[in-house]
Amino acid sequence: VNFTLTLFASTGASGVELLEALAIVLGVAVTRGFRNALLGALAGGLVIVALCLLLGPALRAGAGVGMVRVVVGTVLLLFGLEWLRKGVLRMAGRRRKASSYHEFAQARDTAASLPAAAGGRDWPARAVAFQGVFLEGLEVGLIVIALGASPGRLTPALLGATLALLLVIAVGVALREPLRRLPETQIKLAVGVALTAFGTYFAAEGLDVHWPVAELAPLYLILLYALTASLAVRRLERHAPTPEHA
Amino acid sequence: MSPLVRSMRRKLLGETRTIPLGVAAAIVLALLLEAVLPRGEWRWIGGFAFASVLITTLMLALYPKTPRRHR
Repeated sequence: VNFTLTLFASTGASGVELLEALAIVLGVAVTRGFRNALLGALAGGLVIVALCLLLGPALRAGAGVGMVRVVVGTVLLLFGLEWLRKGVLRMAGRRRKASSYHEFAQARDTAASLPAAAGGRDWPARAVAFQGVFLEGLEVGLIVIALGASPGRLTPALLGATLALLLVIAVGVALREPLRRLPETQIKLAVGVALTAFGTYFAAEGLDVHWPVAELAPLYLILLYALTASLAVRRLERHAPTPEHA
Repeated sequence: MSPLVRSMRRKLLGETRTIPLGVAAAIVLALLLEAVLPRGEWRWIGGFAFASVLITTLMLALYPKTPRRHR
């Protein structure tokens, strides 16, 4: 059960973030050329891989098991609760739906407004692609490190991220209008629920909690947060939107 | 603050302060309860107490300025 849940959480979280990175790179590519976009993206990807190779072992070596679980749980909770908050607001119509197509259009407009390239090297375009991949990849890297930090979970966490990378590349290559078709809002909400559940589970274990039926704890925590999110969406739908949430 | 650093901060800590503060409060509260409660009790109820604080945090982040309904 835990292998499958970790795999799902890793694939989902990595997939939606990589999709956003792909949208930004495509936006730069169609306006400033594929070579510059790919070079910027490649540099961003390499920096993230280097950071993960530094952070992952340091996290495992530098602290006791309990402390590692609290740190890992905190990271997952920060991402998970934020995704959950945004997901609930989107489902209740209080926030624009998640859309990588919007990211694509925004990156395309940003790239088009950049100063012209000097010579053959388009540094401004490369910088936009780099920043997009770096920021989205940072989230992926931290989530995968956090999910894979416990014994037996590194394989599903890495497998999920690899699967997500392959899926996103396939989506980018094979489909014409992939970014409009995916139910990103629902996927992000589901991943937010899973990350929050895993974050609660790990952090509490680090604080010496014994979950009843520990094997099933991530599953019932997922159900608890899914129910909470569903009730919150219904409650928000009943109230008129406020400008802060628009 | 540079746009990259600002974007990184938003990525890592989110758009509101409520969530990072709530997570920090949940951990501090858990440490306090762990110190105060008998070990056995904390082990059994601690997880659900922790989850309750996190759900409260989510609710506070969702309804920061919800206007009161007048009857």
